[in-house]
Amino acid sequence: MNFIQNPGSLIDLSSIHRDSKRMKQIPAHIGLVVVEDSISCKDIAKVIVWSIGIGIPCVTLFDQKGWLKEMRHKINQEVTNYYNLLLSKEKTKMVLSCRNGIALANISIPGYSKPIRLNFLSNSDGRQDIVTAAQKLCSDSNFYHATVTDQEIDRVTSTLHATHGFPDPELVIKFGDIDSMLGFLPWQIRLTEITSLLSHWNLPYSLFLNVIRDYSNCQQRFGK
Amino acid sequence: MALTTRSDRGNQESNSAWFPERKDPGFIQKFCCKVIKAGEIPKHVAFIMDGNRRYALKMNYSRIIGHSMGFDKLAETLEWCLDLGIKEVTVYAFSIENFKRSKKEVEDLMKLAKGKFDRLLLERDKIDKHGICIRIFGDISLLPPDVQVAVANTVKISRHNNRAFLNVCLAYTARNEMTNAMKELAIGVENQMLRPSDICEDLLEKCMYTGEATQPDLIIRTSGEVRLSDFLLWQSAYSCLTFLDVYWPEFTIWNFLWCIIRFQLSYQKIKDGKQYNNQMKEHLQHVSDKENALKEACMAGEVNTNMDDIIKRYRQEREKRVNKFINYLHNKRLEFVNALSNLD
Repeated sequence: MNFIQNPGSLIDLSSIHRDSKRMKQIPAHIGLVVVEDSISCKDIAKVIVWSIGIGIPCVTLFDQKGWLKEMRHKINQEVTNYYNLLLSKEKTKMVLSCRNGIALANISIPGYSKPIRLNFLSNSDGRQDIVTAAQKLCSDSNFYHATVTDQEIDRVTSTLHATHGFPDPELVIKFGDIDSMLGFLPWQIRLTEITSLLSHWNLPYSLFLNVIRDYSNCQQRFGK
Repeated sequence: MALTTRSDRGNQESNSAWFPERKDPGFIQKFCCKVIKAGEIPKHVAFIMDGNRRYALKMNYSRIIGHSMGFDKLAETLEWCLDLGIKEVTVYAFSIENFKRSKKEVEDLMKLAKGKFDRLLLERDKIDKHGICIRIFGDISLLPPDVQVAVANTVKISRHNNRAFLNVCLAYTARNEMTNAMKELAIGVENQMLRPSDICEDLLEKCMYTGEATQPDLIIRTSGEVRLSDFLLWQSAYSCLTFLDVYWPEFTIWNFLWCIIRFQLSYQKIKDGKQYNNQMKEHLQHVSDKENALKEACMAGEVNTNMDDIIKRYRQEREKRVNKFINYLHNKRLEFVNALSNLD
């Protein structure tokens, strides 16, 4: 029996879609960084489904020790369950594919948003991925001859494996009371807005929505 | 705060010292610092000193006055750091992206920077008294020639100090820094000083502009923005990140102590996180050494030698190669600064 009505149970995809329409900007890529000691697949799945509903096409999940990676099948199952709960009439089409240890789930929801891509990352996808890129580029004599230009910096970006084909995350929601990113995508978070929430356990939709709304209202000057 | 007209502030613009006469901090501040010092104090704090222009707008000053007041706040913050026993401070003074600002503002900022570095030479005795070593991180060749000389002189005269470190990021972005480090490694590989498989986290770190610095324990960004903006992206991976909703010229000791408390609260868990990364790092190195050692032994036709001995020998040779390369890079950078400096 629930003493506290989780507001998440009152929402549906139409209301999320309406909330999305009111936003000035939606991130193209969101990072969910979990620095807590335990993970609730159900609650993570909810945040993923809310991200789908609000129109974020790319979601990266991270925890240092790779627990999310290990539980990705369970998480995908919970995503399907929760999504079906919210929208029983429409069908979800889910294709799970694994690419070199990074699991991708391609979920397309006809009529609501673009297909979403899920990325599961851990410690080895941070600094170590940059090291691997360095090893590749250092054997390339063209790289040696070039000066450090924007093009060369872009080359490094495209050589990184963890986020190949993804844009940089524009927003990160960090779950937990540790004030550190614990090695999450150091290269890619150059301009990322970082928001912290105490926990993903029993996270209400309203808190998630506030984060997206704050992001939607922020402006960057890009050094100028 | 005393009322001053815009013209009054204008006269104060370029004369303020790095080590001004100290006001007594007062009993309460001294007491609070003592309490904070009972817990862990970060050894290295990095500041993104953001909000000078918005502060100037709020107070109806010109932008360059905002930047000048930002400098005064930096000088005050350095005092607090010395009081608290913080040995290393890094500041984000000028990003490569800032070159995109208006020509006038960039010129004014370069003039301010040159003035401050020239001023440092005059306060040399105080730098030596506190034992401060000043280092510059960034692509110095992007700065105007006169600023390059001023910066090189500062680095040269404080090089021998080692009690405290002030690192100034000038013409800096983290991606530029990491790409530059990779280029240095590419030169090493091209000249056969290094093998690609020698490249690891520790070596890549040593090749960055921050190679001789420690990693920041605490990063403080003012003005309410909650991003790193291409500042120490690699080095901050395991730092405590704090974001404050005050403009830099308004930063107070109480804001600072609050950030240090946040650091203390996250300290143990961050330490555990760093330790985990170190374990993973060591494991990967061991696997790589084993693989490469065996490859080498096979190619040399060594069949009867003990495997542990082969791996140990390979590791020693790798470390020798790497240390030689790091020394070469250190000397290259030393010579660059010496060539720029116009002091004896």
